[in-house]
Order: sequence, then C-alpha cells, then structure tokens
Amino acid sequence: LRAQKSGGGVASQTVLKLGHGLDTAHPVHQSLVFMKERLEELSSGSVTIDIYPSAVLGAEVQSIEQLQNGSLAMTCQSVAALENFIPSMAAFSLPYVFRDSEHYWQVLNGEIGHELMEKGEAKYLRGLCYYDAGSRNFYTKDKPIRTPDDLTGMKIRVMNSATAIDMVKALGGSPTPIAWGELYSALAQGTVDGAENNVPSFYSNKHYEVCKHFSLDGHTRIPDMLLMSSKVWKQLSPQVQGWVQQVAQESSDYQRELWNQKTKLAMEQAAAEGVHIYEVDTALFQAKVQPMLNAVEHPDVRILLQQISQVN
Amino acid sequence: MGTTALILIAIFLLLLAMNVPIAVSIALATFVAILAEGADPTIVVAANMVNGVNSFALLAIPFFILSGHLMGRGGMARRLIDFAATLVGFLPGGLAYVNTLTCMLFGSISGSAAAAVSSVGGFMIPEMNRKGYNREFNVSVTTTAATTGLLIPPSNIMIVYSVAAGSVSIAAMFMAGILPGIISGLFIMLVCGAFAYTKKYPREPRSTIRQMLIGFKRAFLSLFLIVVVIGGILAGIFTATEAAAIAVVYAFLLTVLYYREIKLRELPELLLQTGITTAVVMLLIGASSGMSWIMTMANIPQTVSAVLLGLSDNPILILLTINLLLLCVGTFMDMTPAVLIFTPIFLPVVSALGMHEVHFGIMMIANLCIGLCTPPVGTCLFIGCGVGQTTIAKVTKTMLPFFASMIVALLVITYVPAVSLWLPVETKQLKATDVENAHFMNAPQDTEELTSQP
Amino acid sequence: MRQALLKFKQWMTTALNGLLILAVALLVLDVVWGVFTRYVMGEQANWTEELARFLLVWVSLLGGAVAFGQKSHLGVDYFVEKLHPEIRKLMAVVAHLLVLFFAVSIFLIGGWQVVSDALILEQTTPALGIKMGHVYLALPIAGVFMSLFTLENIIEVLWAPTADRNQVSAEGGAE
Ligand code: NA
Ligand code: NA
Repeated sequence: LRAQKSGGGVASQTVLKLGHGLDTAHPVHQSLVFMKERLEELSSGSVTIDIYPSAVLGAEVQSIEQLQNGSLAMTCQSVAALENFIPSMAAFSLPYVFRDSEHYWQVLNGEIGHELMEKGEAKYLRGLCYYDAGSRNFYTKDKPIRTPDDLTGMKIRVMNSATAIDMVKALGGSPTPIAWGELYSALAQGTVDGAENNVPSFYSNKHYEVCKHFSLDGHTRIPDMLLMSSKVWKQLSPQVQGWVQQVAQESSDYQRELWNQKTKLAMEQAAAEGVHIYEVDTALFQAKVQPMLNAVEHPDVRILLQQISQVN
Repeated sequence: MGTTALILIAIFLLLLAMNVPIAVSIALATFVAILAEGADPTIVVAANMVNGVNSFALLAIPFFILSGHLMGRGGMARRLIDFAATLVGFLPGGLAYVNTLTCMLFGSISGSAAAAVSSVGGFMIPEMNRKGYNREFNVSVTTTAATTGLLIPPSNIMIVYSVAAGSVSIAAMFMAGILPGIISGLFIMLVCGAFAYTKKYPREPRSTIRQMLIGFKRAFLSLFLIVVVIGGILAGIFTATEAAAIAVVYAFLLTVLYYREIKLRELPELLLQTGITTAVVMLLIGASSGMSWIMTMANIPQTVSAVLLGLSDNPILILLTINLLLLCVGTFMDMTPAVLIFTPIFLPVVSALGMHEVHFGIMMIANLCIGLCTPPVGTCLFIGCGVGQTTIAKVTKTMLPFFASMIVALLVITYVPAVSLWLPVETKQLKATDVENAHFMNAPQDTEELTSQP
Repeated sequence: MRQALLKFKQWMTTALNGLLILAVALLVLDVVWGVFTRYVMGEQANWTEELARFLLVWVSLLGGAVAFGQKSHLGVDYFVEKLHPEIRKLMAVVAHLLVLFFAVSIFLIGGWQVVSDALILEQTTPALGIKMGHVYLALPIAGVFMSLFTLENIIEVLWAPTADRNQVSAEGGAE
C-alpha cells in the first residue's frame, strides 16, 4: 500500500495503488495502463502502479477520502466529484463555460488548469493531469432536440447534481435524476424521454438502441483529473516524483488522442445504427442558461468563471 | 498477497468459532490484514463502516423489514392462507400445498424469509398439527417454502447482492427471481405430494368458484401490494427503495387503519424492532465493505479466480465447484454475510466464464436458501423449530427430501440461464444484447442434458 | 451496585431506542415525501435522497450499539456450545473483550479520526450542504454506547452463574 516496499526476492519495488470507477474498455483506463507501462520503463521496474478499475476500491467520494488519509495513492475522477472538497471546481459543471474544445484545452493546459491542480494541495490532493471526457449532449427517444424549445415538457435524465437539474430546468425541460445503471430501462420503458452524456458513453452503454436522436449541443465539458495523495507523494524521492509527473502528462496526451478516435468511431457506429445526429445552434441554448452563470454566488467559482472567459 | 489472505481468513475463522459476532469478526480480521499490508487500519475500517451503508439502494431493506412486520401482525398472512386454501386445499395433503403457496404469496409481498416462517408458520403449523399431519413434516414444509420468498420479489438479500456486486440493477434482479422462485416452490410441492401419498394425509373440502372468488376478494388488498411494488418498479414510477417505502405506507394504511388489527400504540415497538434488525444487517454490510477493500487490495479475488479457472476449463464443473463451496458456507454462515463475503470473490470467476451477474446472483441466493434450512446455523430452521415446538435434531431427517428438491431446483437455476434471464429481458430490465454476450448462454445443448441429473 | 448498573443500562437503552424509533419513522416520511414531491408537485426536492442515506447511517450505527446491548448480533455459537461451562464462560469474556477492542479502536479512535479529517478538510455534502464530519459523528457516538454496553456485558458474564447460557437470538438477517 501507499508506495509500500514489497519484499520477497526482487529488489524493493515501489507500488502505487490507483483506483478509479471506469471500466477497462474506457480510454481513461487504457491510458492509465499506458502510464503504468511508461513508469515501469522509466524506472527500470523499480516503480509500478497497480490499477483497480470499476470502483472496486470505492466510489468517487470514498476514493478521494482514501487519498486524503493516504490509504490509496492515486485516483482518477471527474472534477465534478471534487466540488465538495474544492468548491471552485463547481465551475466546470456549469453550462457553456467553454466556447469550444480548443478554448477548453487552452484553459486546462494553461495557467488556470495548473493552478486548479495545485488547489487541492491544502486538502492532501495533488492534481497530476487532466483527461478528456468530451462534451455532454442531449439525446432523445422520439423527438429530436434542435432548439431549446424542443425540450419543453421533456423528461430528461440528469446526474443527481443541483447544477445539472437547474440547467435542464432553465432550458425548459423536466429534469429527472436516475442512477446511471437504471437509465437504459428507464429509457426503454419511457420513464424519461431522453438523457445527456458524451458520445462514447452513449454508444458503449447501448442507449442508441432506444434513443435515435442525438443533438450536438455540447452544453458542458467536465474533465477527469488524475489525483495523487499528497501524503504518498511526499514519501517519493524527487526522482520518482519527476517520473510520475512526466508519465502523467504523457498519458494525458495519449488519452486525448484515444478519446478523439473513440468519439469519432462511436459517432460513425451510432449513425450506422440509425441514430440521427444533429448540429444545433448552441447560441440559442447558451442564451437560455446565461442567467444561471450570472446567478453564481460562490466567490471562488465567480473568479474562476471570469478567468476562464478571459482566456483566448 | 499470500500472507495477507492467510491472516484474513485465519483470524476470521478463529473469531467466528469463538462466537464473536460476525460483523466484529469481519472487522477485526480486516483490521489485522490492513495492518499487515502496512496501512492505518483504524481509519480505513471506520470509514467503510459508514461508506458501506451510505447507500440509497440499501434503504429498501429497513422498509421491507417494517412492511413485513406490519403484514405479519396485521392479518395479511391469514387472508392469504384462506385464499390459498380455496385453490389447492382439495388435493391430498391439501394443507401442505396451502402452506407452500401461502409462503410464496407472502414472499411476493415481503422481503424476508424469517417473516414468512413466523407469520405463515404461526398459523399453518398448529393447524396442520391439529389435522394429523406429522409435526416435523409441517416444520420442514414451512421452513423450506419460506425461502422461496427470497427469490420471489421483493427480496432484501437481492438488494444486498446488487450492492455487493457493484450496482447490479435491483429491478433486473427482482424480475430474474420470479421464475426460479416459482420453480423452487413447485419442487417443494412435489415432495409434499410424495409425503401426502405415502402418509395418506387428509384433504380439505373442494371449494366452489364462488368461494375462490370470495377468498380472492378478501386477500385482494393484501395481494394488491404486489402490483404496487413490482408494477411500480417495472413501470419506472419509482425505484426499489421508493417502492419499499410505499409498501410501508400501504401496509400501514391496510393493517392499522383499514383492518385495524394493529393498534397505533404498537407502532413504536415495530419501528424499534425494524431499526435493530436493520442495524444488525447494516453493521455486517459496513464491516464487509472494509473486508472487500482489503481483499481487493491484496488481489484475493484474482487469486481465487485463477485457482478455480485453473482447475478446469469446463464451466459446468466450475459452477458445480462454486455451488458445493457455497453449500458448505451456507451450513455455517447466515445468508447476508455469505453474500457480502463471497460475491466479490466468485463474481470475477463466473464473469470470466461468461455468466451474467444477474444470473449468478440468483444462483447464489438459491444456493444459500438451502443453508437457511440446514443445521447447525439456519435462521429459518431456528424460527421454524421455535414456531413448531420441535427440535432441530428431530426435523433434520424429514428435511432431507426437501433439501434434495431444493438442490434439484438449484441445478436447474444454475444450468438453464433462461430461467433467470428470460423475464428481465422481456420486461426490458436487461438488454438482450448483454445477455447474448454472456457466452455461457450459447451452449444450451449441453445444459439441457445436465438439468435432468439430480 | 448491580441495580445501579442495570438502571444505567436501561436508561441508555431507552434513550437510544427513542432515537431509533424517531429515525426510522423519519426515514419512511422522508422517502415518501421524495416520491410525493416528484409526482404531485412535479419536482423532487433533491435533499430527500441524501437525508435518507445519512439517516440510514445513523440508524445503522446507533442501532448497532443497541444490538450489542441486547446481544442480537449474529454469531456462530455452534462450537462454544460444545465446550465445558467454565471454558465457555472464559470464551464469552474473551469474545466480549474483542468486541470492546472493536468498539474502541474502530468506532471511537478510527471514527474520531474520520470525523476530524472531514472537518479539517472542510468536506461538505452536495445537496444539504452540511459538513460531512457531522455525518461521521455517528461513529464515535455509537462507539461510546457500544463500549459501555460491552463493558456491561462483560460484568454480566462474570457475575452470572456458570450454567447460564449466552443466548444468541436467531432473528435478524436480511433474509
Ligand atoms: Na420476497
Ligand atoms: Na445452515
């Protein structure tokens, strides 16, 4: 555990335990495996990472708590899950914070992204890099969503977060929080008329079997963050710290590439399954949710939103 | 991994044998194992005690326990018995069928087998004793038939399983259990038939259609709870947890306000019993949450998986092995801890075989149902013997044919995936493609043969 | 002495029982309120789910303490039943001491660590916005009651005549 030296024959090896909630086919998991291999290469096998996927070591909040008390070395979580530990992270859950994918990566790879990764240090959470989780979009069963008006009266499944609920409400829809695992049957039975997520999740969870309309409205972009326990980090030598930082960045670049491929492929496959994909005028959606952004009260979030909007 | 696993298992078994409460045995074994892995055990075990139970899905458990208490005391069991009697009472040994059918009906409105044994057995066993049925036979029927209520939804143990397996859909589990529950009940009735034939048990007067309708009418409001709970979940009106809360309200309205068989001043006692029974289960879940954390960290599931898969590449043999192991576990351990401890260990194995997690859950529960009726540790057996005023030693021999029928039912459930998976797919609780991808399904010709073996 | 001890235990049990009854009733009302707001008022209050989970945590831990007082936790008494009464008594004391260690190390010490970590790190809950540390307080509070009940159990075993059997209730599993 925690950078423990495992004895038994081989020269002592540092093992970092990493737990996350995604399945093994997910691009983030594959990039973490890439990172593990690169770390072993760089350190000639003296440092390695044990990866525990599918939340076997705990759900998001538990994983973060385990990092804080040092019983787990690393985790990869959506920054939305960090909100309750680092309040300014709430900015990412708001709609249309980023103009487009380019703006989004400018922010993450720039000064703001760097500062946010350090922001958790006081809470024993050290950010190492970001992973792309794409943009979230609406998809529906019967009626396509081309303008916000189409959402009127529609029951849309959202994550159980106040921001997501407010957003769908602001757009005129009727937000319905349902557990992700129950969503397929909720869609199939018509409990909800639609849901929202990124393209790869829409495809890999087979929601295309039920929902034939996918609107590229890109309302939110919420990245995943690779986090390390500061307590474990302090136990590593400067050389190992350097390696970890390097392979994390490499895995981030690798993941972005993989994510793009996966998104493109999922889009093609969904289309082949008879899903209609719509380009929509995002300005219409943006106008509807602007009051939400103006109404933000938390000072940290307000400042962050301001800073993000100033990035070119 | 070797030493940590050994420490975990050795300390756990030692503490169990010393009659330390199971939850404490699990937590302390975990405590030492985490220490051996070099981490701080106090904080990890403590955090899991809370995080393991901090789950909306698990909330259904206290609700189903409470509605079970209300239904048991509020006269719902008796109305179900009267209705069942009009349907199957005329057969030779009629009361045995009435007993089994009532347990199944009661199971379909209650989440607990213990509730069925005490509520149904409380009426049926004395009645059957009076009519000249053998006392041990009466206890055996009630005890084994009550377990069908764990397969027929709603079912608390299915909720425990779906949490232990990592958010398997509870609605899908509920649908999956219906046919296996009915099959188990039918097999128990077959054994009853054999007893009735050899012992020349009496039959009840045949009921007219009119009497059946009257019986149905009187039981209707009790049975309507099935529609509320299962229909509500299936139609997506509410989640399993909400359905359970609605069941409490429904049972309250029916038994306290309409039937008036429970007085308002009895309610605090019922709430208290519910709280304590819930806490006993939840403490187990919290402790097991820590144990599964250290098992995962020490790669124990992978190791067991590798060993089992190394034994043979024949899924039929591996499933037989798992079933035998679980039967042994079930003799000594109660169902809840067994599900909590062995789900994370065996699920990776059967997933590698291409078995669907819902199917495995049903198989595991059907298996551990047998354990509830076997000595030395069997919750249903204890309650059944208590209600029937007999001893475990006396009942065991009469139980044997019933065990045999449960084992045959278990084999059918194990080797015919469709028994579990057909209904959830039909009701859209599972994706057809998910089930097809489970390649365990793709060898029906092999499984056909196996089911005919005892 | 014996009277005073029993009285104290009774007092603690009554207090905890009252809390439990209240919490279970609240649980039902809370979840039903969630369904009601969703269907009748068109929109579900988002705090109902979170409150329900936290109430469940408190019911579980406080109820767990009561269950130690009533000795209704599930155990395997098969082997100790076969022992000589004197040894059985000794084993009962050892088992209770182990429970005491469990209550103190995990619920009191570990629980307090979890509480203070969550408070220092200012972790809040998403819907209610309360401090997670306050939710975790159930751990040390339950720990105090568990320790006291277990101490009382130990004294009871030591005072009891040897033939007295340590009864374990068969009721109370998820099934
Ligand atoms: Na049931
Ligand atoms: Na047993």
